[in-house]
Amino acid sequence: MKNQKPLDTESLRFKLHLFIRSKLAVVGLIFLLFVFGLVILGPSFSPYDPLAIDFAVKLNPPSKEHLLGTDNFGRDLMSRIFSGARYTLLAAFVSVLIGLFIGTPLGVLSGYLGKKTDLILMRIMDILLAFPPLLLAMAIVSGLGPSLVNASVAIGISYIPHFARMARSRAINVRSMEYVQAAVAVGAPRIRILLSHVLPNCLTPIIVQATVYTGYGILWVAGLSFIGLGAKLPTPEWGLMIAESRQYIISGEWWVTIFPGLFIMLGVTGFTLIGDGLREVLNPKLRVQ
Amino acid sequence: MNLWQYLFRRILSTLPTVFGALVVMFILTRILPGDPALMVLGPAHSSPENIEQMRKVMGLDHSVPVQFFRYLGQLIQGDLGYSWHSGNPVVKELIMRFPATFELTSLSLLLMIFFGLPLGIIAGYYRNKAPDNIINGFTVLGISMPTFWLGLLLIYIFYFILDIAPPPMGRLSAEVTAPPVVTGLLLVDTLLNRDLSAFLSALHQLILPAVTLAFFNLAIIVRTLKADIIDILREDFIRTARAMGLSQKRILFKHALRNALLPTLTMLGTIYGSLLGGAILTEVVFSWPGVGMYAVESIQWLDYSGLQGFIIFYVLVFTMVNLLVDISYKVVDPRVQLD
Repeated sequence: MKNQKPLDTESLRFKLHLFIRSKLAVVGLIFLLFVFGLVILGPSFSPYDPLAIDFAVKLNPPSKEHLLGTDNFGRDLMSRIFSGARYTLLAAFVSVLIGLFIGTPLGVLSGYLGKKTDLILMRIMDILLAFPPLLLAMAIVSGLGPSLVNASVAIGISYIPHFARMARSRAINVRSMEYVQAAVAVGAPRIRILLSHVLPNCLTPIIVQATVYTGYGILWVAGLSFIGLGAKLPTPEWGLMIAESRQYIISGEWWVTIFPGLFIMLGVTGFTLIGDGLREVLNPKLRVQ
Repeated sequence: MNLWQYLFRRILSTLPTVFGALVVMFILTRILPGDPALMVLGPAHSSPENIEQMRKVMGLDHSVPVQFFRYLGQLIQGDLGYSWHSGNPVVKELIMRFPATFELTSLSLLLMIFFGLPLGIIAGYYRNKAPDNIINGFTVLGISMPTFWLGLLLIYIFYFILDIAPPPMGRLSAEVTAPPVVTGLLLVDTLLNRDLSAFLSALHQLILPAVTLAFFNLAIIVRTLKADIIDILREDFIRTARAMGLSQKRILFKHALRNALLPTLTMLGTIYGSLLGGAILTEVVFSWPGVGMYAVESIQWLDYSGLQGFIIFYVLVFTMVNLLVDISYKVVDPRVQLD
């Protein structure tokens, strides 16, 4: 009989096991795979041209020809939702990338260097945090002009202080760790300490946050498009589709608003569940005993 | 340190933030595309001379720094400028509209606390058992629903199908007369006017928007409280309480809840902030004449002063709420030192 090794709770295999054991995370993963499928292959899955107007089938309820029904221009709703996935999702990704790539370095620097750098950087972050995220995004978009790209830039900017704060609090912890002090003692250059000792050890909570914020990003993108500050007509962006068909809800044509919203929920739920799963895997304190 | 000194220091320390917010916002609103003077005049009167004169009246002929200092000067006197698209001073417009937003966000907050606290406690107590899983499912749904979509869904179900909600248009049904304005809060004014049917109408109109707005943050509260309850139930003092044979109910409500409330209270400040933000979308869906709707209209009309006024107003409210939250710590947890 072979020697049984003690269970390595930090091994990738064990973490994978934890992730799969949490059923909700797997459900989230399935949702995300589906949504990613739409982002990549959406247009080829679409049975009709998402922009083709056909007044003969205007506002038709779901039927065999049009599985999810048609909108007020007779456009096939399923085609519009499938083809539109990439707009909403990519905009959410871009916003998180902006927050992540600007916020994290600022936070790490602020936490590691401390003193004046910290004071100044965090004051600026406080100013950004004093705005409600939606309002900051609204102000930025109205400055840059309404478009989907500008909406995601605006959301990205409003994410910066959140990532910076998270990175800063980690960096302050890491700074006093022995391996960092050892690196300082042997005279490693500061940039090297920051990049190869401090930064990697701050990443865990930031990855979780980035996942969850991508989900929220979908909501903000859709919200900005809903009030006319995001995608432009006739882009099949999900939030804009809901705004376009808003008035039909009180006359009973529910499918035009309900279906795009369900797909938004699918995407957000996916990211939220994955975020929860990752949090449990990456943070031993939360594990079920 | 006594309370007044603390208050003074706290208010003083928020000034740089508010000033910074002012600068950022001023720059942002000055890079808005389009000419507000043209917007005010309309295409029919847009001769170059008219535009030139209008720009002078609106103070747009000065350089941006000069505009900024003039704005600051007015601000210190409590003047937020003139709202061109509504024809009222911004302060008047905000004061007129805030009661609608206040009513909406307050009822939402009450709903959140009323449902959020018990759900969070139950989920934490029955961790990984059926009640927790069901509540968890609801919170995930709550977080992933777009506010504006939930609003439309509720309108469809309760107005179109069940026909028990009023049409989603404003604060009062067209059939009842509005009470004379005393506080601006319709729920209060109708009662002062002893008009029960108007009170019921106002409440009726308020329910759907308030539920819509509460949903997202309810989920956040439940999640935070649950995590805290789980942590605290593992603490030594809980074990001691159990060992001493105290009842589960007493341990949960007397010992655990009191300690779990603190982090949840911290969240409330942030949550009120996101309520005001979420109120923007909810107000648009329900044609609710509050400050959020005003901000959206201001953007559409390129109304600088309207947008600026809303932002300053918001930053002030947000700062005040956070201050109140910090002070209320002391009530919940006497160990907290104000510093």
